[in-house]
Amino acid sequence: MIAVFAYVARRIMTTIPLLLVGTFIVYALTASVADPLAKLATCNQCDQAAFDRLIDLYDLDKPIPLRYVYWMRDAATGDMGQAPTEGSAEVFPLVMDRAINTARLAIPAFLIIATLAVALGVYSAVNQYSKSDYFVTGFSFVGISMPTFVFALLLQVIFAVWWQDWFDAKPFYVSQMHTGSISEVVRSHILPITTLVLVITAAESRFERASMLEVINSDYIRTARAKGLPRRRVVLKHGLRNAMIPLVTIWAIDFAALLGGSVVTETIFSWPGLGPLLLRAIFNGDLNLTMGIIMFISLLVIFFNLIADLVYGMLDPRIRYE
Amino acid sequence: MTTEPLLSVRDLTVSFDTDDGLVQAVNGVSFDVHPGETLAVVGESGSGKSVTAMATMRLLPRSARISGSITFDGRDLLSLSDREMRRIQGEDIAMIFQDPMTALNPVFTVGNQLAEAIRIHHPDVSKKAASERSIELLEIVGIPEPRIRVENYPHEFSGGMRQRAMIAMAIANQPKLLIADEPTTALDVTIQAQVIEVMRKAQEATGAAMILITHDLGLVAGVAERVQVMYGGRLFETGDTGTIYYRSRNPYTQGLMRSIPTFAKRTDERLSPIPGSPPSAINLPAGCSFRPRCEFAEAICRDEEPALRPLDPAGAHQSRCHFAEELPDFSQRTAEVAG
Ligand SMILES: Nc1ncnc2c1ncn2[C@@H]1O[C@H](COP(=O)(O)OP(=O)(O)OP(=O)(O)O)[C@@H](O)[C@H]1O
Ligand SMILES: [Mg+2]
Repeated sequence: MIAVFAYVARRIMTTIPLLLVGTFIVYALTASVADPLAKLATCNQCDQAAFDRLIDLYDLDKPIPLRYVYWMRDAATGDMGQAPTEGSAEVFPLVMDRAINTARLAIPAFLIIATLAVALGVYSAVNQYSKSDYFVTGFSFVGISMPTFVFALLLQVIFAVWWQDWFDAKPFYVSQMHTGSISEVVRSHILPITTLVLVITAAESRFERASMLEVINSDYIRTARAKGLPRRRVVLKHGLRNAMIPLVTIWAIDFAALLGGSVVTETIFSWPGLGPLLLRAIFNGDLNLTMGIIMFISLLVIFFNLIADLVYGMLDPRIRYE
Repeated sequence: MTTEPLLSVRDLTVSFDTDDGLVQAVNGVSFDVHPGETLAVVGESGSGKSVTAMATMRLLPRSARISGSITFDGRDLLSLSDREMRRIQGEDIAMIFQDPMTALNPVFTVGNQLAEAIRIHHPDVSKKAASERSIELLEIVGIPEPRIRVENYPHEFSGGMRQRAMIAMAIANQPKLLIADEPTTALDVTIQAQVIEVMRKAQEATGAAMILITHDLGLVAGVAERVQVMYGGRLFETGDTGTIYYRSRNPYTQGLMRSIPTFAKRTDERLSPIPGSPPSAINLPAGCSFRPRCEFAEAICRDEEPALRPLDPAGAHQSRCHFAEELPDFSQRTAEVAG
């Protein structure tokens, strides 16, 4: 147990330089293309004082590395600055607010994806080359090769246009969570969640199938069968746990990505999440906001990687934290 | 032998449908194993030893086409349902595999896997009793500090210890038949003898019969009562261990013998592996399948496949060779060479 704590502490320490380098690269790139003065340049009434205010506000007269240091110093104290293109809203609460909306999609989507991917992958592997296996692998193939927006638009057209009378899809708004009925909440969430589930399950189930196939052909499965264990027990006890080990890493990546906001899905369903916010921040050259969201996503990735490594150690006794 | 055979295999033929064609892995093999005896099955790689064993355990993949009959303890194994067969697997027939490094599940403790083998066939045994029995089993196979070791994961065991654990698992339910498929091939030479000794002890403790599969004839002495030699999916020679060792009447067996280091030394003959390589299981040559590599081959060997013929009235010694009677004794020949 102590070894695990020491490991976590060490991992967090080694993450800090990673985080610094990563955010610096994003900062430098964004800062060199985003020019807060550009909008003022076409402004007739603006005087030099306006320029000076902006230059002073963003330290535009300082070199980028130095500006990064100032930004980081503030960020470390929790002050992520303001987002000038979002009505000067404070970045931190803004990002948190949108992150919650994103999580409303990400968490249920992830739970469904994880369950479905394992179930489909295992089923497909156990019944290799059967009709249902071809069906599942066919579905994965379509899901992997089709871009997300195709699914999103298809679902939207089918359920929110053609069958709108029957399905009655609802748009999402934040107060719905407090005032809307359960059925309304479900109908606003179901299409974007389904989009995410379809696309990501396709990739994950394929991965799980491959992993399970490898396990099924391993010697210890043969041993388990030779003991006279029923098929179900061979697969579920001896196969599943081994076949899930490689999936843990994928889960960490996918869950972090989901919580970081899906640009395409959220944009198409007008979801007030992190995805569209980041897109706008980049287009509008909003440095503080871009950095705030990037920082959030980086922390997610780092956090879930750490979780993955811990889960990995729980599933596989050969892993040691030294 | 006067006793009823425990296992009786008749005309076993196994082929696999593969992308490259029909693989003829086992071809018309018949043999008996009597209660308590040890039968060694010897042959080069690809001769069909494992497939024969896996057919007996009913562990072959679904792509296998099996014909013939396998009778165990009066029951025709090939016609049992999966559920009925599972009651025999691990209970009446248990198997020890070649590679102990991969044969145990890495994510469960050795004790867990041992106890599972017991409790799946004896659900009335409590967890605690199964765990006690696991410790006892580890003790039988010579694992030091079994009470501690039972909690270990397979990766905490050495190769030799893992194979001991596999043996412990195989004898957990006092099976009537043990099938060991090259149990020492993957192990260090220094440990091989120990593991063979453990298997003998385990066999003694349970009174089980054993099929010992190996490609090393040298391993067989002192362990097996009878030897049967396979080549290209066919039985080439079968007989008592002494007969096979000293009066083999088959060029292939004699070739195998000459490739055993200890034998070659004793007879002052140079260690010489059989030239050429075993036949492909897809296109078996016409006539005798060993002909391309045989120093005694004549025209008849190409035209006519020799039958497995009894060489004594009791039929205890049988050989598949047109010239079985004319062949010089292995020991005589080596003596001639030496002289
Ligand atoms: N599942 C399978 N599909 C296709 N061919 C197979 C399969 N299993 C075995 N074979 C073929 O059957 C033949 C006999 O194989 P087998 O494993 O019984 O040989 P063996 O005598 O045990 O050799 P080794 O000493 O290498 O273990 C080989 O040619 C092998 O390629
Ligand atoms: Mg083999």
